[in-house]
Amino acid sequence: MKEFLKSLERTAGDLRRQARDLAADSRQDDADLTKIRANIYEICATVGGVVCKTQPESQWEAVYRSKLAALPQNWRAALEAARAHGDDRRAAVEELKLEALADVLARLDARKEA
Amino acid sequence: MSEEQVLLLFKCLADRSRLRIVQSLLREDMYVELLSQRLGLTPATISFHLKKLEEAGLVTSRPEQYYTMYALRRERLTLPLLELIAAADDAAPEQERREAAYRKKVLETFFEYGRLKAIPAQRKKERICLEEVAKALEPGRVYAEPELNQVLLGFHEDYCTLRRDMISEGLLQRENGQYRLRG
Repeated sequence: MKEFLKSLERTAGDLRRQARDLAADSRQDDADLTKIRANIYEICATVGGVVCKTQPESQWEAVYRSKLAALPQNWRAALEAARAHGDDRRAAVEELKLEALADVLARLDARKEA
Repeated sequence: MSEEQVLLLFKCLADRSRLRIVQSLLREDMYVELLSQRLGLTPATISFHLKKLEEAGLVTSRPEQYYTMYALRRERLTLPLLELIAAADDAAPEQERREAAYRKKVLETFFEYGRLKAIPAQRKKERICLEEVAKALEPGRVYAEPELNQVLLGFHEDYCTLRRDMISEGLLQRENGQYRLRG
């Protein structure tokens, strides 16, 4: 579990470095979008850390999954509203957040299988 | 073209990813997924950039079968730089421009898809938002209270605060329980 959370922190760190490189490469918007993705990995790592401290190890994954499931509700609503109003920029941001969270969940599944 | 529009255009092009999208569209019209494959960026990121290019007037879109095709507005890109810079000679005084920019920023912060996310606590900002709300009312028309409430409810659930503050800001006047915009 700790290794899983560390891997999320590593991804966030990699994305932050990538964002710095993109900004230096005259791609400020790509840098900002990459920072948004980094934030999601950081949030997931932080939530995992809190669950880790408050729950016994046997309960950790179930509680963590329920916390992660609650995270994207506002993002989905914002994505739908953005699409309904033709706000492609906002929609793109919400999609990236949802994709990052989906990746975290896929990694969690892979950890279970391994 | 106003100075703001020219600045938007230059800012939009001063980005490597967008420049590459423009380069790709120079060759042929494309849809998001194809641009995404060619440039190695996610479809969401491409959509984000295309929207910016569209806002700057550099790109147009049209539905085609299952896709939305994007095309360059070549007439914009063939304008000589000198002509663009000369056209940006905006007559609006600096103060006016700053106020318009501030107003735009406040409205972008507090409005989302035509509704108020929150009623600003700061009076100056609230005034700007209330002026925007007032645009939904017809000048000269007399509104009964329930009718006015319905209009205000379209902007925020706390329609009572909106109504009260529009009166205290001098945007609305009330007479015998009826309301109308102040001239």
